[in-house]
Amino acid sequence: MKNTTFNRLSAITLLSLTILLHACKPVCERNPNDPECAGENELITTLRVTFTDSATGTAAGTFQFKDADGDGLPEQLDTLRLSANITYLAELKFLNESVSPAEDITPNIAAESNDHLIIFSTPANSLTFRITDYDNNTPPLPLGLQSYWRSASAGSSTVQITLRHQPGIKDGTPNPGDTDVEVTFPVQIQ
Amino acid sequence: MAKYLSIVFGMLLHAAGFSQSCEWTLKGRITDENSVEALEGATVTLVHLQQSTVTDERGRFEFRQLCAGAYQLAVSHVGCATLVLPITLTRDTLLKIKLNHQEAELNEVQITAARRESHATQSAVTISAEKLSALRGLSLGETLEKVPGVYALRTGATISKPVIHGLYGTRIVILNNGVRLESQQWGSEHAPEIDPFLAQRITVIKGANSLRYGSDALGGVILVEPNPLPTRHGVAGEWNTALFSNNAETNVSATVEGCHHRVSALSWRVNGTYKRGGNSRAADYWLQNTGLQEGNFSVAAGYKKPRAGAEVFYARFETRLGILRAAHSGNLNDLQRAIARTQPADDAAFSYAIARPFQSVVHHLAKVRAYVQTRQLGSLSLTLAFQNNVRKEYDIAGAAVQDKTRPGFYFQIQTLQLDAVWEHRVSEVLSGAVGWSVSTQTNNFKYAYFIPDFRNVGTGLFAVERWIKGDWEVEAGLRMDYKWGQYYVRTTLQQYDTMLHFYAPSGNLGFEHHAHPHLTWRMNVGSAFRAPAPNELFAFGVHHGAATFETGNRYLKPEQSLNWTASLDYDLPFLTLRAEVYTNYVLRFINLVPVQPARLTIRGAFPSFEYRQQNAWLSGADIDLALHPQKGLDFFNKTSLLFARNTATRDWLEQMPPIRFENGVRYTATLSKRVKEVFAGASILNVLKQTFMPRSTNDYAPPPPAYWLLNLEAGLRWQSDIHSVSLSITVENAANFRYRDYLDRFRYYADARGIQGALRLQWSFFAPEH
Repeated sequence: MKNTTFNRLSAITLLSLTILLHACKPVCERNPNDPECAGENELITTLRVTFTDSATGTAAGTFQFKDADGDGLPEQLDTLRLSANITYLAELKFLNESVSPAEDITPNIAAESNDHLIIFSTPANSLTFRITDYDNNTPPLPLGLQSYWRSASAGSSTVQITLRHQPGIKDGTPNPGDTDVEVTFPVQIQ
Repeated sequence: MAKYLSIVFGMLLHAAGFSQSCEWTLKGRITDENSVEALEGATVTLVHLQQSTVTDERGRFEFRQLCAGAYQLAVSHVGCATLVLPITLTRDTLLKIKLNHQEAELNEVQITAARRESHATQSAVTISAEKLSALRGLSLGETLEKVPGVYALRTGATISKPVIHGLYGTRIVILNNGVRLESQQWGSEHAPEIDPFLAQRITVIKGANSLRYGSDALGGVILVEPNPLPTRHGVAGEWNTALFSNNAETNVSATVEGCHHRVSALSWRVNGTYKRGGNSRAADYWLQNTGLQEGNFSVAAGYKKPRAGAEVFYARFETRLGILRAAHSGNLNDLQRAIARTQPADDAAFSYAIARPFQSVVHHLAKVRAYVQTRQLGSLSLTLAFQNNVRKEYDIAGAAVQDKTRPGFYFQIQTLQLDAVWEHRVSEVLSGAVGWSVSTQTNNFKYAYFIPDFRNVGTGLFAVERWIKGDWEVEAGLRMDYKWGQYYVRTTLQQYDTMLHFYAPSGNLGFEHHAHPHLTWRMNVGSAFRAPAPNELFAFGVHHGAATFETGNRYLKPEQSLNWTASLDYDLPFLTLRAEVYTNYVLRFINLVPVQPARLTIRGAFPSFEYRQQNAWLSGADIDLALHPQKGLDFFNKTSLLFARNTATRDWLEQMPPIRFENGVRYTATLSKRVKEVFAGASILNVLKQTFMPRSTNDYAPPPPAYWLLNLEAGLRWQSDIHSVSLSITVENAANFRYRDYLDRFRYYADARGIQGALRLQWSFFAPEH
């Protein structure tokens, strides 16, 4: 009687062991093509600023911050090279270049304009900014995908461009919400 | 408690008068005849005097001021026949009574005994069912906070993790009904997935103890235990309601259990809990998006015969926890702006709604346990357990996220464990256990990378022997663990598979000495090891909400601790003292260390942290003192001291619990046979400012100032043969003091919870079969 119980127990033990030792592979190792397994592919990797001379309409350069692998070591951080005493139209583009083809996030921001605000700031007095596009709030609040930059005298400084995410709490000031993008470009005004 | 009633109420005979001197004391200690373990909760009755008492955790009982003469002493314990001993008292007498549980409910006693054995020489504190009834509705972390030496690491009012002697997370082991909890415990905002309503007993074993419960228990072990399945014929149940005022939280929990005389080996239990709370309120304002919702249930059934038996248990836990909106930082500048504000920028109101950011966690636990036992060989038990933990963290979805309903992080961890334990008795004085365990895990993540996918297999072998003679108990044990893991690292920067092995011994040596009827002291030296957690090895990315960029270190070695604890229990009629001192030296303590330069991402700059290993030395003392100047009146003091040093830098360790005192008074009275207990009390919890800070720190804000909280309680317990009802009202932070706690991760953003009133109703019944 006792023997059969112990025999049964050892059989159960062996069976369980077999199950135990066959450790399952993680799901994403078995199905590497599962789109949910691709890691964080929904991010912003690139901020691109395109300048146009507002008086003449001529292109005045495209500059970008790019960190396509998201590791915190940007592959590209351009210096904004502008001329003194000119008004530029600055157009911003936000891209996800970690996927191929690259994804343009700018239309999403435009579509969610009521939840976003772009802020420009510089420690120098040599640049002033005026946002020209607005959201659908009443009264409309600035968005910032398009803005006029007025340069003054020559010199070097920095410009910080911040994309604030303010879902349902946008009031036109930078304070509410949290930061989605914050890039500081060096600026050279000649 | 209710299970002892039938015995107590049966004894109604009157005492015969004796004219001799009436100053004698009768003391005794009850042990199990087979396992030599002390029996707690045995009822001892002096039949003719109608006097009854229940044995304490060391199996001791005491009757005072007895007259000399002949008595009948009835001793009973759950599930075993009442033993009646004739005794003649002529002087102070010490009895040693052995109770035989061989024939009935052997398994229950064996379980209890086995659990007690594992920590007899260590410092352990048990929160009994009675004390738990005053803490119903609180999370596990908040429940354990009442124990000296245990602190709570919080993420706001709703998420808390127990910290034992300064260590938490993967450095402590939590056993839920005998199964080691396996989830994503590496995260400081990941609360243990346990429903405390299920527990009728929670034990904290402080100090390193890896012997029986496997590796990692550098700080201690927490045992969350339901009652053993019922053996009384009939149906019993318990209903709990706890209502909290601060966040309009409702808790309801019900348990029903039974056992039928036709199949008296078969017993069952079902339990369900639901809780829902809205936004919490700090002293002066609402905390937006801090609601919670939780629903749990469990079923258990057992078939137990003296020679063999089996038990199945399944529990499901599901929670959804709102995260304070103001605590979500996009980058370091956001964090610094939030700290600079004295209160959250959002103008919040009360609401039950939970929006992003929030966590959603589902945990399943299934267990099968079987045992056989014989008088010659002892008992052999096998436990097979499966756990599936799915954690989803929903952060605020930015413009780049197409699907706004998906979580930002998704982790799934599945664990299969098999434990075999052979409890044996070598001789009258020597008994022990030999055990073997195997486990395997698979971890899956989706969406953002923070820790890798991995699978692992671990195995451990242990032996522990215990020698008991006279007033001495000596315990020694040894364990060896081996862990193999394969990790699939898939960051945007690196993709590789790697295999890691860890193995280490652990051990324990301790003794307990009942030096005097009033005094017991014990000393224990234990060693435990912990293999690095997956985040410490392979983390890569911005830690959610913490505004830090964390990088793992795949070359980390296991931590190994050497822990020494000495404790004493001193019991006098007017004083009880429980004090312990400890020192825990942790070799290769894994610490998150700031490194330069800061990580520059498109979200801005983040302070960069890496995992490094340095030796740490944690020492301290816990004191639990109570004075009883007259019957029913208690003055108490609970003190927790901790000094944590980094021996490599010869400096203090950060993020350690500050010194804490609790002083209070409590009055308890019995009004009538039915109104068993009426109580009222007040206490002041005093937490000092953490001043043991390293010379240079990368913390964003200095430790908050000291604070004190006034807590009030009052209640009563009514009892009949069948029903027991307890009702209590407590008020925490009754002065609505505005404070922030050093170990609250939301202290950067908002004040802790203000005044919190609680109303608790517990009703339990037992309907015996006719």
